[in-house]
Amino acid sequence: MRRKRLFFWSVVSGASLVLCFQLLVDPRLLHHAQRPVFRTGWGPMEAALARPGGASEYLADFLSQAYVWPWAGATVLAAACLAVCLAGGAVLARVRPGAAGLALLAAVPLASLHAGVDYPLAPTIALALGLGLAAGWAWLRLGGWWLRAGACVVLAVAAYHLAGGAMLVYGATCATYGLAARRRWSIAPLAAVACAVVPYAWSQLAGPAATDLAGQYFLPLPFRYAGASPVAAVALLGLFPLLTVLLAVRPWRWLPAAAARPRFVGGWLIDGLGALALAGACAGAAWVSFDADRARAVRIDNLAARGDWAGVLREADRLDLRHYGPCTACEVDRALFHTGRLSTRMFAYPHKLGMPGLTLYVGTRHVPADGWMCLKTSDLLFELGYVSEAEHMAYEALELLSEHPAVLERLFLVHAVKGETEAAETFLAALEAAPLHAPRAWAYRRMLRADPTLDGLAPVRQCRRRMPRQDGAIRPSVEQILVHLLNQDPTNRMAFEYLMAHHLLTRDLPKVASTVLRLRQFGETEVPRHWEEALMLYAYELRARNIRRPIPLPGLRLRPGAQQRLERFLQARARYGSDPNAALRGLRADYGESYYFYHTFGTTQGGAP
Amino acid sequence: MRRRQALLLGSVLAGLTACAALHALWTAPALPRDAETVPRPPRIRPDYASIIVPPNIAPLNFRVREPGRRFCVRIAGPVGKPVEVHSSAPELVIPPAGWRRLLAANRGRRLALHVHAQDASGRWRRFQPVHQTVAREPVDPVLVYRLIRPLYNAYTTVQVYQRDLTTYRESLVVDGRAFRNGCVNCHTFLNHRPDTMLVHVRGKAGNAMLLATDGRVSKVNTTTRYNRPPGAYSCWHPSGRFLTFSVNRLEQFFHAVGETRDVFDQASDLGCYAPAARAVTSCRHLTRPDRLETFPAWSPDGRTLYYSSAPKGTIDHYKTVRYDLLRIAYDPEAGTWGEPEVVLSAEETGVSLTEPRVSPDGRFLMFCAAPYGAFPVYQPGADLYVLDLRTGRHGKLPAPVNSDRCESWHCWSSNGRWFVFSSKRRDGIFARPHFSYFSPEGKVGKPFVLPQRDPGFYDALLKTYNVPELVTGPIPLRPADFTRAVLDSAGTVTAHAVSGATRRPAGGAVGASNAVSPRRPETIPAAR
Repeated sequence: MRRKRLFFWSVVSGASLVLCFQLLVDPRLLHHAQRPVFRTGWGPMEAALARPGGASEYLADFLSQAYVWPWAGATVLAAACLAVCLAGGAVLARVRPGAAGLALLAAVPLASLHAGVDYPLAPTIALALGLGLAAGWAWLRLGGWWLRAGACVVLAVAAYHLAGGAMLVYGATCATYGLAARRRWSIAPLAAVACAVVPYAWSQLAGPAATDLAGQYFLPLPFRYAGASPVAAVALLGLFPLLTVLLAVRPWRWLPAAAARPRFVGGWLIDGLGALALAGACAGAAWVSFDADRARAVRIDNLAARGDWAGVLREADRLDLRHYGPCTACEVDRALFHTGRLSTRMFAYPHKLGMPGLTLYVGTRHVPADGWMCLKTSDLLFELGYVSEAEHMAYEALELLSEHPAVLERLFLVHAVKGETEAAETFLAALEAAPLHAPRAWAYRRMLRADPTLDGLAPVRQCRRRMPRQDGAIRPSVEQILVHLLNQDPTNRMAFEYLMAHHLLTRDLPKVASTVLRLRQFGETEVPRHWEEALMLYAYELRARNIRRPIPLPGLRLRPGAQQRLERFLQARARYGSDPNAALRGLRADYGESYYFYHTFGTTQGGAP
Repeated sequence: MRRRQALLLGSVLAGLTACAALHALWTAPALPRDAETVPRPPRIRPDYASIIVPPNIAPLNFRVREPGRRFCVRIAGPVGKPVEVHSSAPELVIPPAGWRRLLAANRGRRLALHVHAQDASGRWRRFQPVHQTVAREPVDPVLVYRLIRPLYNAYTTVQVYQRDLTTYRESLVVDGRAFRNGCVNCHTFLNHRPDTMLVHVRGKAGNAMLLATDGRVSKVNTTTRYNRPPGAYSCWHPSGRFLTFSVNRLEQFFHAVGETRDVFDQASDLGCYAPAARAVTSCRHLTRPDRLETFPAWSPDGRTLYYSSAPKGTIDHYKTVRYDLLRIAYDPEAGTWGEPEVVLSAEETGVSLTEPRVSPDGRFLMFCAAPYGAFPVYQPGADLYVLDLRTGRHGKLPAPVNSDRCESWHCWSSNGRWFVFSSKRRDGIFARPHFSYFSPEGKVGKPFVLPQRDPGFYDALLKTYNVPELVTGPIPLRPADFTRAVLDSAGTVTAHAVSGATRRPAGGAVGASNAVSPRRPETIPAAR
C-alpha cells in the first residue's frame, strides 16, 4: 500500500514538473541559453570521467540534448528532479519506514531553480548522485563500526569523483543520518573529515585545480549560477538533513495523543488533495522564479540565430530595458538592416554613445570576455564579409567556449570561404562528433565532395564576394573595416548601411555627409530619415559656425519638409534652455525616436542598452 | 545442493570458453591467397610509406583509404615473426607486442607492409607493399609539448604534456587552468634530461620562470629593473650552471588576407640566469639597443652561443625586419664573452633566420627560415634549413621535410639521429609533431607524424602541438608540483641584476666581466 501511494505521488509530482517545464519555461530556450555540448567518442568521455564531478557534467550534457524537443526536454528535467526526490526519499525511508514520500517536497525548490533559464542540469544530477550514494550507505547492512566507516569513506571518494562539490551533500546526509537516526556519534566527524580529506588527497594527486573546480561546481548555489533563487537553493540543501533530524527525533511524540495522530477522512482523498497542493506549489515556485524578460532576451537571440528578423523586432519591442544588453542591440540592428529599416528606425531602439552595440567589435586588442559575444561578433563580421576578423573572433570563441557546435560551424565556413578546405574538414570532423549537429555536418561534407569551393552555399558565396583581397590596417577599427569592405566591393549594402550607422552613432556628421554619396551606387536618390536628420544637423552646425559651404548631395534628394522638421526640433529644444535633463524628459515623447534626439543627448528615448 | 549448482555453472562456463577459443582458432582470418594484384601501393593515412622509423616507436597505426569491406595488413621483415592485422574497418591497429618484437629483430632492415582490401563483391585486392626502414638508433622515448588551441588574444586552456613514444601514454606536466587559466610556454631541458627543466608561466598568478631541478620546482622572478618583461625563449648552458633566455616585447597584429595572426618583436635582448647565484647578467653584444636579439642556442661544448639578431624596425614596416644568425664565443672557465660574428646574414639569404638548434655532435645547426620577422609559426612560408658548421654549407631541407605550409620548432634527439618538428602541412592551422631521421652525413628521411592509437586521431583534433622537445625519460614531477610552485608566492626566488661592475655572482658563473660601464650593470636594457 505504501509503495502504491509513493508511486502515485511520484507520478503526480513528475507530471506536474513536466507540465511546468513544458508550458512555462520551454526547454528549447534552456537549450539556447545554456548551449550544452555533448560529443560522442571515448576521448570526451575519458576526459570527463577523469575529473571530479565530470561524470555528472557528462551525463547532464548528454541528457540536455533532449531540450531541443520540448516534451522530451521537460521529461528529462522532471526525471532529474524526481531522481533527487527518490534518492532523498530512500534516506528518509531508512530513518522512518513510510516517510519516503516527504522527499517529494524537494520538487518545489527544484522547480523554482530550473525555471531560471540559465540554471543547468548538472547540479541536479550531481545532487541525485550524492543523495543516492548516501542512501546506499544508509541501506548497507554491514556489521561493525569499521566496516561502516570504511564504506562511508569509499563512497565519499565515489561521491567526489561522480558528483564533485555535491559530495558535501553526501557527507551532510551521512552525518545527519548517523547522528540523528542511528546515534552513532563518531560517524558525523568521520563524514566531515572524509569531505575534507578526499578533495585534499585528490588535489595532491591531480593538482589544486581539481579541488577548485569540483568545489565550485555542482552545488545549487546562487552565486555559482546566475538567476538561481537563494531561497530555493537553501531550501533544497537544507531539506533532507532537516527531514532526517525531524523523522529521527520525532518531536510530535511529545504532543498530546489526539494532536499527534490526526484522523483523516480517507486515504485517497487526502492523497488527491495533497498531490494537487504539491503540483500547485511546484507551478507556483516555477512561476515566481521564471524571469520573462531574460527568457525574451534569449528568444531574441534564438530568433536571430534562425534568421527570423521580424520576430527579433517583435520581441525587442516588448523587452525590458534591463535585459537590453549589447548583444541584443547588435541583433536588433541586424534585424533592422535585414528588414530594410536600419536607416529609418534605428533610433527607435535603445542606443547610447560609446556602446559597442552595432557590431560588438572593439578592435583587435580587446576581446570580449564572453565567448558568445565573440561568436556573435564573428557572425556579423562574416556576414559583412570581413572574414579575417570573423576568423579571429571565432577562434576567441573556440578558446572561451570550447568546441561548441556553433563555433565549429562558423570556423568551418570561415575556412571554406578562404579556400582552406583541409582546415574546414578538420572542423567538420569535430562537428560530426556532436550528435545533434552531425546530420548538418554530413550534408556539408557531401557538398564539399561535390564542390570543394562550396560556391553553391549562399553564405560562403556572399562572404567570398565581399571579402578583402588586399591587406588592410594591422589593427583595424570598425570604421576601417567597413571602409575596407566598401572599397573592395562597392555593392556591399550591409557594409554601407553599417558604416552610415557607425557614423551616426559616433556623431561624426562630416563623414555622414561624405559617405551618404555612395547611396547613388545602389540606385537610390531619396535620403532615408536618420541620414537626412544627420545631414540637416550638419548643415545647421556649419551655419552656426558661419561656414557658408553647402553640403553637396549630387543626385540625392531629401524628403519634403526636412528643414521644417529640424526647425521644429530646435525650437522645442530651445524651450528648455540650458537644462539638459528637462530637455531630455520633455523631448522624449515627440522626438525620442529621431536622430536629433540621439545627437543632442547621446542616447535614445529608451535609454542605454 | 549449492555446491553442485556451482560446479555445474562452472563447468558450463568452462565449456563455453573452450568452445569460443576453438572457434576463434578455427576461423582465424588468414591472408587471402587468390587476391587480385593492384599495381600501386595503397593510399594510407597518416602517410607512413617509405619512412625510416625508430626501433622503439609505438605501432604506426593507419587507415587504409581504399574502398573495401574488410582489410588486412601483413607486416614482415627479413627477420622475425610477421604481424598480421585483420579488420572490418579501414583503421588498422597493430598489436604492440608483435610490433615491438618485429622492430627489435629488424634494426637496420626494411619492413614491408602488404595491404589487402576486400571489395563489396567479396573479391580481395592486394596492393604493392609499403616499405618502412627500421633505423638502428632509437629516438628519445619521451616527447614533451604544449597542447593548445590556435590562440589569438584569449587563453583558458594551456597545458604541457609528455608522451611516451614507445606507447601511446600521454600525461599532463603543467596545467595552466590550475593557476587561474595561466599561460605556460617555452619548456626547455638541460641536455635532454627530464629532471632539469624550465618553463615560463604568465597570467593572473604572476609571470615567472619555473625551474625544476633535483626533484623540486622553484618559481623564479627573473625581472629586474633592467629587464621588465618576463623571459621567453630559453636555452640551458650545457654545464647546467646557468641558462640563457630572451626578453621580448611582442605585439600581436592581424592581417585581412591569408594567415590572420602575426607577431612583431618591438624589443628583445638576451640575458643569463644563474640559479645558484640567483643573478641575471648579460653582455653588451647581446643587449644592443639598436638591435633585437632572440632565440639563444648553446653549442654542445658550451663555448658558443648562437642567436638571431635583427636591426630594430617599426611595426608599420614589419616585412622589412629580417633576422641574421649570429654567434658569440664564451669562455666557461673565465666567464667572458668574445665578439659576435655573423654566421648567416638575412641580406645574403633573403629570409629571416630564427630558432637555431645545434646538433648534439656540434656539427650541424638546424634553423627556421621565414620571409620576415621572428614568429615563423604564423608564416606558411616558414621552412627548416640546416647548416653544416664544418663546411659552412647550408640549405633548405628537402621537400619531404618541408611542405608548402609552416615547419618550425625543431628539436634534435639526444643521439642526434632524429629530429622532431612542428608542421602544419595537413591543414595549415594545426601543427602536428613530425619525426625525421638525420643521418651522420646530414641526409634526412621522410618525416612521419607522431603515431596515435586511433589512426583518425588528428582528423578532428582542434589543438596544436607547440614546441615539441625530446627528452630521455619521463619528467619525474607531478602537475601539482608545478601548480604549487606557481601559487606559492612566498617561495618565489627573486633574481637580481649583476655585472662585473657591481658584484660577481658566487662561483663567477656567468659572463659578467665584459662590463661597458663601471656604473651601469651589464644587463638587459632594451626591453625596459
